[in-house]
Amino acid sequence: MAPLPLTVLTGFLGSGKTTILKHALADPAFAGTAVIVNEFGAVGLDHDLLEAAEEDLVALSTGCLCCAVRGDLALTIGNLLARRTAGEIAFERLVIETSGLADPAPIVQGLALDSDLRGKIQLARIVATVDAVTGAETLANHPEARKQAAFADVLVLTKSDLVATEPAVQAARRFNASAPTVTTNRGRLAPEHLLPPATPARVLADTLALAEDAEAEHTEGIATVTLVRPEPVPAIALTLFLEALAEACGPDLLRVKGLVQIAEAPDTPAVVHGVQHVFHALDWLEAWPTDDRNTRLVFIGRRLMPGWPRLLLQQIEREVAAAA
Amino acid sequence: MNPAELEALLSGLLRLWQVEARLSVAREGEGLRADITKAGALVTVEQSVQPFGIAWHVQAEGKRRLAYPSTIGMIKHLREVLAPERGVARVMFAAGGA
Repeated sequence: MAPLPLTVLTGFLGSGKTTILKHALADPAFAGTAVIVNEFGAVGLDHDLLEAAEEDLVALSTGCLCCAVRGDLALTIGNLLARRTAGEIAFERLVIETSGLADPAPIVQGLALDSDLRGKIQLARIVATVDAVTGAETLANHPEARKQAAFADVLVLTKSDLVATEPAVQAARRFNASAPTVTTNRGRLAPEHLLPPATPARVLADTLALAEDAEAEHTEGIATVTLVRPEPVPAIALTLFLEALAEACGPDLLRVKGLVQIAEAPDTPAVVHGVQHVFHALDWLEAWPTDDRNTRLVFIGRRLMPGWPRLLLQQIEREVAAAA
Repeated sequence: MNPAELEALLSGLLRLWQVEARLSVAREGEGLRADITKAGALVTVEQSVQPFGIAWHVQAEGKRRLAYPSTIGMIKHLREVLAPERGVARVMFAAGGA
């Protein structure tokens, strides 16, 4: 059975996540979606599923939030999947709304590495809301908001009917130059931005198209660095490269995503998708989504030098070739 | 690898690790040698082509000179010498997606 696609909806306190979900749940396009909300007070709609994973605010102040939430989420998802298997409920996809102060990385990592959920769910995208009114100030003052923006595959500008979005867009781009931005219409977000893409390549294609010109370092040293190259990458070199990257960058590597032309299978691109040092098993597309068959990788991390990932990959390829 | 590439590779590491150090790279025989001086202590990194492939050697002042057959090994040792306080992040692959 194919793993169920999972969308993580994150964003700072009051940035409009729940409003988006309320509207989404009333949209027929959203039917068949199980929604898990980290905070209580969630909307309840008859035709959709809603499970709440209670977040312990006491744990928040102790720094234990991520572990607590991770366990709750894994259990909640496990219960949902068990009920689905038993035929009690039916759904085709999952959406998790994180709390406004959540760091999405340990949540995604925890789910990726949970042995009970292995092979049952698959991260489709991380969507982060940014308040057009207060977003620039929030990003300036709250590291949680910066991390949420940095991890996003899609940045959603909310409350765009109230003010111009450009200041908030610019502020968010300082932490994630590669994610496409979309806006809500009075709290409504077009379903395609929240639902999983038809293929992983779709969201990646959007991301990578933007990332071509997005090699810059920003506040707190968070940089978006791209690697585009026509030469195929030997599979072993890619694995060693990702290991070396994690070894060198440690927790400062925030995201890695892209399409890779693997030397052993050049017609079926590999989808690389990593959150910090946890990488999802490589997805293989049946074909390249466009005529562009270049390997395209985007790295978001702290203090990453432009060109450095390319140099590291080249060196590892030389080692692989020399050892062969 | 040429001296400029080795310098860029090591500069990138020092920057990632927020290590303030002086770095110089030069050819040595058929290989390359980088001297990294941090707080007066010297760490040398050498790269050469051996019959089995590319070899790295790392030596911190007063320590044994250790050989590594891979860039990953060199990076790991260098991090332990220059930035031991940094957290380790071993890459993990989640089977079957997230």
